[in-house]
Formats: sequence, structure tokens, C-alpha cells
Amino acid sequence: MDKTAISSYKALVAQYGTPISVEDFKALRSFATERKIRLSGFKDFVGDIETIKKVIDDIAEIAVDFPLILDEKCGIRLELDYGLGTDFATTESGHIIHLNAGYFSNLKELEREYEEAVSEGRFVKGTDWRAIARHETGHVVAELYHVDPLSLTFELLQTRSRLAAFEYLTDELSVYSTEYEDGREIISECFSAYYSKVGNQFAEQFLQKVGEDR
Amino acid sequence: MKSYSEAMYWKKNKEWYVANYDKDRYELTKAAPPRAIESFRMYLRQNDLPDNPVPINFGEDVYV
Repeated sequence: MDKTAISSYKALVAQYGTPISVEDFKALRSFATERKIRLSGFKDFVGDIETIKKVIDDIAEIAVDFPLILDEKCGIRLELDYGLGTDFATTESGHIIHLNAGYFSNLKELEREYEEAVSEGRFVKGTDWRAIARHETGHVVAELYHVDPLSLTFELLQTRSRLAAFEYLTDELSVYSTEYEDGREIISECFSAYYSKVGNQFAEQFLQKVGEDR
Repeated sequence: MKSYSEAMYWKKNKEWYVANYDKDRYELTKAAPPRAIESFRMYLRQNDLPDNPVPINFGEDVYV
């Protein structure tokens, strides 16, 4: 990054607040390293590191069932991103989870927007912002364990009709799970539900099947 | 994970769309407001589905 780009980036960060102290950064990095999760960009985090520690714990919990997600070469890297716009988080290259710095440094706003989506049926009923890391980790599991979410859904629902499956998922999982016809959001919404322990029947069946097939 | 997706706005109200199993696709009903119609077009584009012009024909039961 050249000097102009660095200056411009620092100005962007300053819009959100003052970055965490060196001590806090080291504590956060140590917390992540103990759980085998690599961090990137968090020196510029302006929020409460306890929020990020919760994200790390949410990923680590899933790694008990799917250890490949913490593999030294292809495992998860958590990256702070100031350029995600209205996305809470994204997953890139199958294993790099980008967290939206704007949302994750303002937990109240993050909670408010997430709750609004749940109330409208866009996200799984009963989940909260903690489901975001679980959702993204679902994408990583799909990649590393070669899960085809749509085929699995057809099998569980005993149908070959995408439309019938999507109608079921709209009512029983979330609208977001039906956003892409290839079913990519089905697995992530199932992870969101299952690891949030909201008792979603379809998500529980889905995770059981993923576990059997891996 | 998107905080909000305009491409799914059309699914906000079940009176705005139907699942047409004969054609294996969603269709909008005449109750769909303009914003839902534009949202449905976004959904079609996002999924590389045929982006048929949506006829504004209130004499029909369904659009697209």
C-alpha cells in the first residue's frame, strides 16, 4: 500500500473511532492464536475486543465438529474489513471470513439490524448476531468438506423440485436461505440455526446428514 | 451475509408471488407493487435466470 492509500485508509478508520491499544490487540491476537484462528487487520479495530472474542469462540465451537476449518493451510482467517458496505460479513476464497468493521465495532447497531431481519423472516427465527460467524463458517465447511447443500436438501425433503424445497425453506428456515438458486445459503443458514441452538428441525437434520457424509 | 437484500423484497408478502409448479418457477401476482417487481428482476438477474420484461398488465393474474 503506498503512502496515499495508507493515509486514506487511516482517515477511513478514524471516521469510526480510535483503534484499540497495542495491549488489547496483543490480547486479542493471543486469544485467537490459542484457538488456531488467524487474524488480519484487527490493529485498526475500533470496537470492543470482547465482541471479536465471541466471534472467535463461535468459530472454535464449530471446529470441534469440523476440524478442517482450522487447518494450518486452508483454515479460517478472520479479516477486519472497512469496505463491506451493507454486508455483515462475507467469505472469500472459501476460507477468509471478512467482518464488517462498521457493524462489529458498533454492537448495538449490529444487534438492531440483525433483529429486524429476524422479525421479517429474513434470518432464522430465534437467532441473534452471534449467528453471523456461524453462518459464514457454514460456507467454509461447504467448501472444505465438499457439501452440496441443494442435493442434501432434496434428499432430506424427498423432492427433486427446487421450487418445493425453496417454499419449505422460506417458511421453515429463512428467506435468506433461498436467495441463490444453487442453494449456497442453505448450509450457512442451517449452521446459523444449529449452532445457535434454536431447535430448528430442518437445520438439525441437515447437520446430522453433513456429519454422516463427511 | 447481507444485512439486507433488496433482491428478496418480493418475498416479503405472500400475496405478491406464487410458486408455479407447472413451470417450476416463481411468478409475481398482480398484487405485487412496483418495488417488488423490480426486486424480482434483481433476483432473476442475480441467479442468471431469464430476465423477462415484466408486463405491467393488471388484467392478468401473474407477471413474468
